[in-house]
Amino acid sequence: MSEKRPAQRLLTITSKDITVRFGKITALDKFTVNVPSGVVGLLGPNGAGKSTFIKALLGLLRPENGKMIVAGYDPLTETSTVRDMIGYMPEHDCLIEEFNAVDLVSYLGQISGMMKRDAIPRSHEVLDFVGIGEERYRTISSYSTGMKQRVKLAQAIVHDPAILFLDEPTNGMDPQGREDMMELIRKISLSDKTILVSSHILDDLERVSDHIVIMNDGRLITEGSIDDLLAKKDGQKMVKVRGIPENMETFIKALAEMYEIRSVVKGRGEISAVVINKGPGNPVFKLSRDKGVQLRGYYPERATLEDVFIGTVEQNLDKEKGGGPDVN
Amino acid sequence: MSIDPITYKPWSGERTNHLERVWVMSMAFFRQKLKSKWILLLLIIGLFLVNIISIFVYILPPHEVLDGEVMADQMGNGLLFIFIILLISMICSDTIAEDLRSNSFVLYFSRAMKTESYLAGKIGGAFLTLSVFSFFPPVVLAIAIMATQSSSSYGDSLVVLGQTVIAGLVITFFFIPAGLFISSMTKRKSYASVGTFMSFFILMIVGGIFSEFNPDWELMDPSLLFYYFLQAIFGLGLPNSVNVGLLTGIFLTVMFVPLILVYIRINQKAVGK
Repeated sequence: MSEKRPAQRLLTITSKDITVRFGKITALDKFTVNVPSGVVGLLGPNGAGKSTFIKALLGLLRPENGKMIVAGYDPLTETSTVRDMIGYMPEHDCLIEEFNAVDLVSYLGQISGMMKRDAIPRSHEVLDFVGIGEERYRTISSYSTGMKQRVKLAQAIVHDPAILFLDEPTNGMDPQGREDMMELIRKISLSDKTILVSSHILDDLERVSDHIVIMNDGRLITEGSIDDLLAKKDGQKMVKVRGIPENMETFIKALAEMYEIRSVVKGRGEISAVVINKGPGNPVFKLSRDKGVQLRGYYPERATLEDVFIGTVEQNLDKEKGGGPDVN
Repeated sequence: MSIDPITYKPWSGERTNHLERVWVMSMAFFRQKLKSKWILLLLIIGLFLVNIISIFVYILPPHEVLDGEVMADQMGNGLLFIFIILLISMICSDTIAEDLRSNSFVLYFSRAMKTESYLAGKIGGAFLTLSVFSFFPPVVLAIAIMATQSSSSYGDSLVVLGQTVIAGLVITFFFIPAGLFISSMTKRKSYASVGTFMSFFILMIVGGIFSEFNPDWELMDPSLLFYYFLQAIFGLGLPNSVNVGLLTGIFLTVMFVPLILVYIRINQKAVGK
C-alpha cells in the first residue's frame, strides 16, 4: 500500500523558546524564529547553534523546552510526517563509501519512500543535475570532497522534498565548486521550496537567500528579508567625483561641512566618499558644480551581509555588556 | 539549436509505506552480502559439507517417516554450529560498524525511519543472508525426507516439518543480536568480525572449564545452548543435569539483551557529529 504525499501546506518553520543543552553547554538558548518559505540563510559563526537547530527541527534532538512547527507539524510528535517532507544535507562526511553514487542515491530514495522503478531513474536525474557524470559508477570512497558534497545534495533532493535543510553545503569546496553549489541551490529554489541553508560564509548566503536569520551563541541576533537587512544603512550614499585634484579636495572639505562623511577613498583622478544624507541629492549636485568637479556617481550605498553580521553581533554584545534588553 | 541546461525537475510519485522501506534495507543488505566473495565461499563450503552430504545420508537409505531425531541431529551438529558462527562473524561485522565509521546513521534517521525500523532492516538483512545456510536447507531436507518416506502416514512428518521450520527460524536469528551488538561497539568491521567469533569461542571455553565445578556453567557454551534448544523443540527431552529455568533465561538473554543494548547505542549515535 502506498502513502499519499503530505498535502501542500504553507512551508514555514517556526520555533519558540527552544532550548537545547549538551551537558553544561547551551547550544540553543530560548531560540525563537520564524522561517518563511523561500531560500533562508541561517548565518552564524562556528558553534552558533545552526546545526543544532536543524537537528532539532528534524527531531534528532529533543529540546528541553519550547515549541517547533515545521509546515504545520510538530517534529517531536509527528516526526515521520515531518521527515518525509524534508531533505537533509549534513555538514560532515556521512556517505556510505562502499556504494557507488547511483546505488546510494537510489537506495536512499527508496528509504525515503520511492519505489525502485522511480528511484533509479530519479537518482540518475539528480546526479546529472548536481554534475556527477560517469564517476557515478565509482565507489564513493574514491570521490573528492567536492564530489561528495554534490552526492550529499543529490541524496537530499532525490525524493523531491518540500523543505530542504542544507548544512554548510559548500564545506571544503574550492571557489568554483562553491559557485556551482550556490547555482544549484538557486535552481532548486525555483521549484517553490523552503530551503534553509546554514553557513558561516557570508558571500554564499548573500547570493542565494531571500531571507536571513543571524544567530550567535544559540540565540537569534536578527532576522529579516535580505533586502531589508542590506538596506539598513539608512541615508548612506556613495559620492564619486573626478576633476582637478585641488578642486576635488575643496569639494570633499565642503561636503564634510554639509554632511557626515563615513569614509573617503582617493584613487587615480577620482575620489569616492561615503556620506550620510537622508535628504535630497540636489545640494550635492550643486556643490559639485560650484567646486568645478565632475560628479560621476551618487547612489545609495548598499550594505553587505558582512556589514550587517558584524554590526548586529557587535550591537548584541554591547547590549549584553550594558545589561540592555535581549534581542530575542 | 542549443542543448537545454539541466534544471531541477520535481518528482511526483507516491511514497511507499514504512514497512516497505524496512524491506528495502533488508534486501539491500542481503544483496550486498551476497556480493562478498568470502561470504559466498563460506556459504558454498558450508552448504556442501553440512547439507549436501546430509541429503545422501538421510534420503538414500530407506526411511519410514521424517524423524525429529534426524532433524535435531542435522541442525544440532557441531559443523553447522561452527559455520553459523563464522557466517555471523562475517555477515554482522559491518552491519552497524560501517554506519558508525562513516557517520551515516544520519542518512537514515533524517528520513522517516525510527531506530526500531533501522534495526529491523539490518536484522532482516542478516537473517535473509544466514537463512540461505541455516533455514532453507534444513527445511528443504525435511521436505525431501518426507517426499521419499515409505509410510503413507504424513501426520507425524508434518509435525516434524513444523518443528524444523520453527527451529530453523530460531537458530538463524539466535546469534544475530550478539553479532549486531559487537558490531555496534566498534567502527572497524575487522574488530567486529574477530570479536564476534572470539566471544563465542571464549564462552565455549569458559563453559567447558567451569562445568567441571558446576554443571550449570555448561549453559555458557553457545553450542550446548543450541543443542539443548533443538532437543527441546523436537520433543526429545533434556538431560537431567540441565536446569530448564536457567536454560530458558540464558537463551532469552542471548537473544534479546544485545538487541536492547544495540538500540541504546544507536540512539546515542543517531544524532551524528
